[in-house]
Amino acid sequence: MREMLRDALAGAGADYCEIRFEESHPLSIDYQGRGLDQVAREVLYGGAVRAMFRGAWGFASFNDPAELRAMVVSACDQARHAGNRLGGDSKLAPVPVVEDECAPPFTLHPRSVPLEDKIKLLDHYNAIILASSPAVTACRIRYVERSTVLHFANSEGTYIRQDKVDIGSSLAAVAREGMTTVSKGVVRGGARGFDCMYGAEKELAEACGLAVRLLSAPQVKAGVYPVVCDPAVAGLFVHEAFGHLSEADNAFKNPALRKTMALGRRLGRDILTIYDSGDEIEHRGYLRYDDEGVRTRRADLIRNGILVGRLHSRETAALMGEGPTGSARAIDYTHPPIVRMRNTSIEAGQSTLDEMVKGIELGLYVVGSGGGQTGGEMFTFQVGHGVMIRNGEFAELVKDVKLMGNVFSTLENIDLIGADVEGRNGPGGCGKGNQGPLPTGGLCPPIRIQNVIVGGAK
Amino acid sequence: MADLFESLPTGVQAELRVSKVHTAGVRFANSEFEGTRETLHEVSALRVVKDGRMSLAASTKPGSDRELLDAALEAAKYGTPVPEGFSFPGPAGIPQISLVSEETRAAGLAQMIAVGEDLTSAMLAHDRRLRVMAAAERDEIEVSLRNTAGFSGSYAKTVWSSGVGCQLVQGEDFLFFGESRTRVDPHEDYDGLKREVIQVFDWARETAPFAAGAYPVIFAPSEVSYLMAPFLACLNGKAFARGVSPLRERMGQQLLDPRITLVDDGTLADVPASAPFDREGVPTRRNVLVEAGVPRTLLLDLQTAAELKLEPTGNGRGSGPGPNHVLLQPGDTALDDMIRGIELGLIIYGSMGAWAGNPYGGNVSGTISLGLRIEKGRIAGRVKNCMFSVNAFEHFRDRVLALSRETKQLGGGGVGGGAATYPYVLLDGVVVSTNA
Repeated sequence: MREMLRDALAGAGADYCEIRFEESHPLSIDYQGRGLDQVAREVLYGGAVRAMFRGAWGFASFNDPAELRAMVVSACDQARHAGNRLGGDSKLAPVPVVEDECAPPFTLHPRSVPLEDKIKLLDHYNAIILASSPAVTACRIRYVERSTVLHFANSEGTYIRQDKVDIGSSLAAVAREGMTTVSKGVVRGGARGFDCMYGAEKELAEACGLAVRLLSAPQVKAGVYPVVCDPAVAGLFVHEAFGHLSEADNAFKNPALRKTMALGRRLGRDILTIYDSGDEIEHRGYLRYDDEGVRTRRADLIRNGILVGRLHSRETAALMGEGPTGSARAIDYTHPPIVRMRNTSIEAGQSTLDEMVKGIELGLYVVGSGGGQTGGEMFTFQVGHGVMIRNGEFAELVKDVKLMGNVFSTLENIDLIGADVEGRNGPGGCGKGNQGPLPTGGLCPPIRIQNVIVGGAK
Repeated sequence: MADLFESLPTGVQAELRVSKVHTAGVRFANSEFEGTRETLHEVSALRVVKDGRMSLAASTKPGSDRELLDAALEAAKYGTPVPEGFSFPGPAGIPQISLVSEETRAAGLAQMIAVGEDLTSAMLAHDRRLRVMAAAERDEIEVSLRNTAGFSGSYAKTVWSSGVGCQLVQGEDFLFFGESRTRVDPHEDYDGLKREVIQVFDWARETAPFAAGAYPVIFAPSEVSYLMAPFLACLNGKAFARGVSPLRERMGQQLLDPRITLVDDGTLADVPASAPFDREGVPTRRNVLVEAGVPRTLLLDLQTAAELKLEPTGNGRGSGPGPNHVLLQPGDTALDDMIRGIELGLIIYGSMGAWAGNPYGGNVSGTISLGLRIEKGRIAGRVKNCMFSVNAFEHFRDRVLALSRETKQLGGGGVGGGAATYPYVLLDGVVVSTNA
């Protein structure tokens, strides 16, 4: 493959050219209702060529390797056509030329586990769900895995082969009473092996009980509350509320946004440190090289409340005069890489959960992430459920909790950070640029935020 | 691929679908030409039924027939149990639907670049401070499907997509609005597209205060799609068959306002989401899901139809049933009159997170990313830091004030399905939360 890619690149007529070639084996197993619903296997096989000429990009993707040379020509022709119109300069941050073949130290490669064994394990979890209560009328289990061999070569001489694994799953009970349905579950996943799926029994049984209790819980009352986020919600918060704004492709050609996001600006209190990294092998955002062949490195984004960095591709790094971070990622060969997060984390603080709750007269403890979205300075996310805090004590359960806020004021309003971090590895992932779900993760402690807008009943 | 069926073990049913998509497109970002793309993809998807269980395997790898078959047969051991007597559909007449534009097929990058330049320059002419993004793209799609029961069919379609969006950043205030459209042919009303984006952008330039409470709110068609999601989820045959739909015991009952009629129609000519047959070879048709507030019909594929002992509705999507092109019947109120009739309320053009949550409970809430205050019948600026919450089941039963006569088509790109045409909907008693 290495020689094939290098031969094809030899004819590239552009300032820069790169080829990715991928063979991925996704597997999905779904349970709905009372049992196994669908098993689906895929083979994703194909390549992508990206070329730059005078500051503009051409991109071509294909399935058939026989098309490789034609697609190099297509991408370069497109880039020349676009570049001659744009009339700019091709600027990419310099990075070392690399020749590497790498695979993480897998604990239990999912392709080495027979499908039968995976089904047996999920059947076991399904039995726990369905036996938990008469009010639990159905299960909703989703297991997805993807094993990938990815080749990368560029016109600068880099060649990298990476073996990757991504696993994400959710195991949930659906409780129903009349028109009311509630779903609660647990999540499992990682980048290292299938063993992340074992040992969910106790947590799952607790989630089933919670689903039944939430049936009779009221919808949260809309309002503005101090909110204590568990590590899963804190992780979602840091991804949606701040992470996307730190992706440099938003700002690199936008002077007004560059000014707003100027490095050195204070965004939070001294206790707040946020970073993004591809190093944590236990988590779904693990990445050794990005999709531009750049070795990933930890990027400190906020340190002690001050904005100190952002996530970059080679192009955004060059145009902003900052260092590349290895953050250019593509969901697969059908898309060009864009600037994305990997594992985005909040550094641990010193507070206990009791300290966070104490002193709140009326507030909310929110547990479990249910997805989120950001648009500029605004963010929103759904949480699994809430527990009201009254006079410094945990009180009744509430459901249908959705939080929103302004990034800038919310970061300032983080006033306590917990000492114990937890990872997040659920199914799904980031959907930026219609390239989802891209595996991302992170490590976060619980955090307390003042003045959060909560949507719900009147 | 003929060999694939010949090498099937005895007694195994199979269905092979091959889709080829050739895409070319241009993109403008940050008010300048960014680049172009060309993609050429082919996907083969094989479903088999073996020993009463169905499985799915798909591959983009050329010449991987044997690998595909082996993967499907292995997965079938644990596949979806199919009801006794389940069969793929046999030979059938395939309706002809006009879905191809030769002009779209012939469109080159130069034509797309001209569209992008025109959209970008129009926005910049209106306000030089805007950061404009624009795109134009054409897809040529070919789909073929055949099965061991004798069905064999194919169709082609073209899709022309275009769109423009603008961002204005002023300190910590970010404003974004954009619109995209799809057609079979390239004759888009670009002037109308530009006018709409500029109009909404201008309405949103000034911010306006807004207090928490319950208000009359107009949902733009893009937002109506979130309000319809609970109905589409609950009327999905899979939700019925798996026992998660709360409408299971309520079909035929007057559950919603009599003005609510919801139809799924995959047969409309010159509409990109249409197709002569669904993912499983069942002819698409017009299905009245909700008639005058009464739920009537489910979205069904072969599997769920067999489980529920009903006829398939042409909504097979390969992993369960799904809508082709959903239409909410418009009303007779002009949007302008809707606005004029509101003393104090909102019109919501954009939201975030309204897709999240449990659709079977009917609760829909989202952060309002682009909402405009309506005061004494006039637009009075953009509201910020607000969320809306409704319960679709309750609001569409008791709180429908009006549906507009104007409609907008949403989505419809790609290989097929998932499009909608909705009017503006005015609901009363929408809960708005804010920190103001």
